[in-house]
Amino acid sequence: MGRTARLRLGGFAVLVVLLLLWEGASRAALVNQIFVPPVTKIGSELWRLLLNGEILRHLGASAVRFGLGYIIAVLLGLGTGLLMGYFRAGYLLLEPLIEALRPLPPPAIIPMAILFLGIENQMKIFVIAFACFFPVVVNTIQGVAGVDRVLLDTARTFGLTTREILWKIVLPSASPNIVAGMRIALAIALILTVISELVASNDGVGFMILDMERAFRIPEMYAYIFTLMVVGYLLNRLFVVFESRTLSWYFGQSRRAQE
Amino acid sequence: MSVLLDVQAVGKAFPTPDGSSLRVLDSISFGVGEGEFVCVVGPSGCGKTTLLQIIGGLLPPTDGRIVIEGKAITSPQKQMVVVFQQYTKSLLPWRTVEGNVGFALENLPLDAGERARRVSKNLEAVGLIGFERYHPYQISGGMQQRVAIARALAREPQIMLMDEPFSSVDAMTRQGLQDLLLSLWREFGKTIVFVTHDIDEAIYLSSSIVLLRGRPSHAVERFSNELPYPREKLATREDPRFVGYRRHLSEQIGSAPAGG
Repeated sequence: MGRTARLRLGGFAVLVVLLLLWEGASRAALVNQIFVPPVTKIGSELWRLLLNGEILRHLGASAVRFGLGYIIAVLLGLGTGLLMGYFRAGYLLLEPLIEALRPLPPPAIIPMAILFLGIENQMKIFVIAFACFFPVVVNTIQGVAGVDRVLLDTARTFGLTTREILWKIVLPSASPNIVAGMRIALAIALILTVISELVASNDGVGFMILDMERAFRIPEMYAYIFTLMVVGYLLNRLFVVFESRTLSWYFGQSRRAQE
Repeated sequence: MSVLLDVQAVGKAFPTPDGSSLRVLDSISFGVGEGEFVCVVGPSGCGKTTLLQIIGGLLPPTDGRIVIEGKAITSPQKQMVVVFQQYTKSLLPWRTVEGNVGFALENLPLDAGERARRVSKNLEAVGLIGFERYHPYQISGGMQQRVAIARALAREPQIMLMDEPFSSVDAMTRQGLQDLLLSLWREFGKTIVFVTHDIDEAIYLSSSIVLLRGRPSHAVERFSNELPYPREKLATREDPRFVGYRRHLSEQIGSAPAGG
């Protein structure tokens, strides 16, 4: 076994040892068993909630908000970013607005969003989309600004219209930056999904974490936290697959440049 | 021979950071006949690329105009294609070799079969059969420039404008590309305007030479290159006429007044 493989295995071992320590400490009552139940107890709760469909139901509720908010943000961010990056007028007109809103920590708009949109999905989707919009916009603008002059001249010598230039040259050329923005937005979407559910909700994984804590059903609270961990991990893996498919040319090019 | 492309008193000035303007081209005039291979030679930094971009409709001239078949143009024209010096930047890195050639055809009214036929025909013409599915980063610089040439040819333009297309490849590759270009020119009968600072390259390729000189640059002379085709990398260069042109152009460029 190579060094890398051994170390990778070691990394898993660290995780397993910590979980065992947790288990032991809890069972030996070295920590408060009520606040820190044994891992196996959390595991069996998790299993029970999976089997009776509770977790899936709440995951579904969260996924709708997360998904819609994220997709809206990506589409709007991409469109706005292209407009601002490619057209000088678009940039000059919108940049002050974007720069004014961007420093705002997104949770700060939740109370206002509740005022206008209530406490249902609309509000949560709005808040998620608002938060995810900025990394997509900013990265798209950066990507568009980096499109090479020669590539644009090439498009013009072949008689492409502005729409074709945006679609066939600017968008793919800026895609490494755009995807980087989408990756940041993905993490933010998950954060805002949970926060919006903590603030006002009657379902969703974020809501359940708070609700179980209030009901003093601590193992269930941990079960939902673990669920989020797994979901976050899987989302990231999924994104890596998407990234390597869309940007295979870019990674190939960078590898070649380093040789 | 009728004049296909006419450069009429073209001048170009760029604004400078201090608010004045810098004149790079001054009153340049020459005509290009159908089927000619005109090389525009001048020292580095004399504005050759600027001139080619103006001819290609990519850059508006400050004075003068470009006339094609009697019509003044102000934008890129269908019958004309520019091949750029920086092939690494002018190919679409996310597309394969055949995708890059096909790119030139997507906004032409052709059916899918004709498109595919033109792509493979032109890839064959530049010797890239077998590399259709490669991406630009996977092939050498010389091959990348051949993709760019195939892409330009696929559009079947009347006029090809080439901006020092071989200046970024090594000497051996350059020789091969020059011979390839000559055989393509003879086979397809295009009109070519080719800009270069390399005197040898200009003499080896051209049927006619335009010499730019001075600051701002102006066309000091235009003459026909009487060297017979087909040209051959050794024999042509040993021809006394080649040596004569070479001496003449070197002296002309060398005697340019120092910039200012």
